[in-house]
Amino acid sequence: MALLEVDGLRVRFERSAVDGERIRPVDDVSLRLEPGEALGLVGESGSGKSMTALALMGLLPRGAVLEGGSVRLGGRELLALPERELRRLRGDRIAIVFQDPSGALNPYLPVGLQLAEVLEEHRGIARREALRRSARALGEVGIPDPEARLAAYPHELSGGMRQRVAIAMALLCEPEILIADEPTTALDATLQAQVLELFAQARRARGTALLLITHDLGVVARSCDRVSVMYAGRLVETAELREVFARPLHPYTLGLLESAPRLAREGGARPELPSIPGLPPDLARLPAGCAFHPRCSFRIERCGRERPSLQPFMERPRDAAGGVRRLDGPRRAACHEKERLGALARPQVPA
Amino acid sequence: MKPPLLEVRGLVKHYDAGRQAGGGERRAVRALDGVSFSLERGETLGLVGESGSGKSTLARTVVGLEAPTAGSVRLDGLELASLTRRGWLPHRRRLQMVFQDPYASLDPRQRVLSILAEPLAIHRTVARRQRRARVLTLLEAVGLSPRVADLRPDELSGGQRQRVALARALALEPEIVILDEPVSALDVSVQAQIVNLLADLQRRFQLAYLFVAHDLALVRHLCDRVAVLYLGRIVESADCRQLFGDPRHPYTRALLDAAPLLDPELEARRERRALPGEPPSPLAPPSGCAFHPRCTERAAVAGERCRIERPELAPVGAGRLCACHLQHA
Repeated sequence: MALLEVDGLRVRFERSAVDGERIRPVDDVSLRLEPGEALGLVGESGSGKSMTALALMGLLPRGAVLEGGSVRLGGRELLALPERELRRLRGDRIAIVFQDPSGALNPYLPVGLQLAEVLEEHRGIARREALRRSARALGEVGIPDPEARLAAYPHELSGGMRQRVAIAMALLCEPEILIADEPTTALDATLQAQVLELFAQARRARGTALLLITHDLGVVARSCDRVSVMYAGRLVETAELREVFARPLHPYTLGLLESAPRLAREGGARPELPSIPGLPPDLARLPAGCAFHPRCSFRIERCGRERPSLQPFMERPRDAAGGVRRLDGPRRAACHEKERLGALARPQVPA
Repeated sequence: MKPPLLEVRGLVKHYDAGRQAGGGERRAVRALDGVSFSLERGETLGLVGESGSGKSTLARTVVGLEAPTAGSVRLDGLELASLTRRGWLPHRRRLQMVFQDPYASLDPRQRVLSILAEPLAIHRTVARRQRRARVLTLLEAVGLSPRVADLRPDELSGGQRQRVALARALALEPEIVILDEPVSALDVSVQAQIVNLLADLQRRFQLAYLFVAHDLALVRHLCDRVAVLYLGRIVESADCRQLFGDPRHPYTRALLDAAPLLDPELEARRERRALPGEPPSPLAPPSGCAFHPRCTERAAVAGERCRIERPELAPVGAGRLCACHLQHA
């Protein structure tokens, strides 16, 4: 039993009250997260990655309806819990950090008080002690002079500081799982590196599991153990970090990797980037079959009529005994041509 | 000798920040504090730095959206910094700007046809009868179908809008295009299309680009030279290969260390020295070298000097400049 088990999660969204247009931003998403593990959930805007996080926290926005699926934390089903109990779990065993920390911080209260209230509510700790621990938590996320900062209002802090306060708040009750939704997207490069280091520390020191939601494969390469890639509301690939980068099994993952400019590129030549043609689809008008097929250079006739499901990848070259050798690890892709991709020798490109 | 296409000398931009609570002196935000560089035809100069570095202010000042506090901006030897708004008009077409957010930079009420025809009308470069034909040529140049001319921005995707913004910038056949984070608001799977288009347009029209970006891999991909800004000043400039292969300023090194690599093997082996702290406020820049409070390399050699004396941007080998006492000991 994994720490977090998400199975067949589906969310429906009534996008417009006028035409009753329905979309499914999360469609049959399953995830596993072990203690201390970091899973990168990768996708671009509209892929459903953020909605997945909100759904499993029980924080769906208005208009979004949970259609089905299961979310178990330590074997216990969360989706059936009454709001009161969910609220107790949130911030306690499972916490979330967003791209914009303003949502997590009350602009009218000093940050020290906001942190202390979390400890008072979840841990029953008295104000004085709660403030003392809050100062320590601020120090741990690299905020200088933390005792003095307790009295600061959010607007008196820089964006980087606010994000660190939000992270300190999320880590305050030592949650088993930290969900971070584009936590560094609004931050400068050097601050991004600091925040990713904070997550790594929490994992090492307390075995916190991390679900890192991002569009940035570089951030994933730096800080995750496994990767799940989403496209148009569905998982298209999930595998160990190194496998995904060395030999992606889904053409979308391959396209993202190939189209990114490389920092460690050699020489002065400026080759054209192999770009993915077209646009991400409108969820209200998804193509038949595989949602990626209109943009896919690997597509075959079958892709336009039959939607591929997320299936384990079988190594095509058979082993000595003639049987199909199954790769180690839970490596899966939703592509009719995944064996063809798996057999590609990916050219060694510098990072 | 022929002057550079664009030559910026000692550019300063201060914003009035009012008085501190309780009275006292008026304070100034020193967004740009003496920036100099030049740009040649067909060349791409990358401007790199974190928030507060002044890179966007620099772009806006060069293009005339902000009046400089001091300094000079010359286009083919002609001084632009002292021009009035009206005086700018005949030169504006030579310098165009593309913004990060194509959702905010295009008028949502106008069709693409009139968005693209407007600069042609203002500058009277194309006769009225020929404007539609010219707009269609522009759309083709940025890879859009003629159908787009009759659509409004909200009927377009982010990538298509950025193509329209590029077409608008190209309408007046500029020599210099200033690109302020032109792909960072786009879907990742669409970014490479626009990056390729930028490279293609540059080749076709011999454009010079001033490219403001935070994504170092993208800067490396597109730029010939790079200038690194910290708190309103250039701390290092070099050609792209030198800067990425052999960064000299401790801040440049820290930026490169902080940038994630798209390779888990390399990331795992990487020695990581996270830069402490945050960029300081341009309201109260540190004494001496503005970077000294965060610098991990100063203590060993020139610690005291870094705190007191501001290092000048000086040559460190052919064609490259660096403002660091450690380089000029």
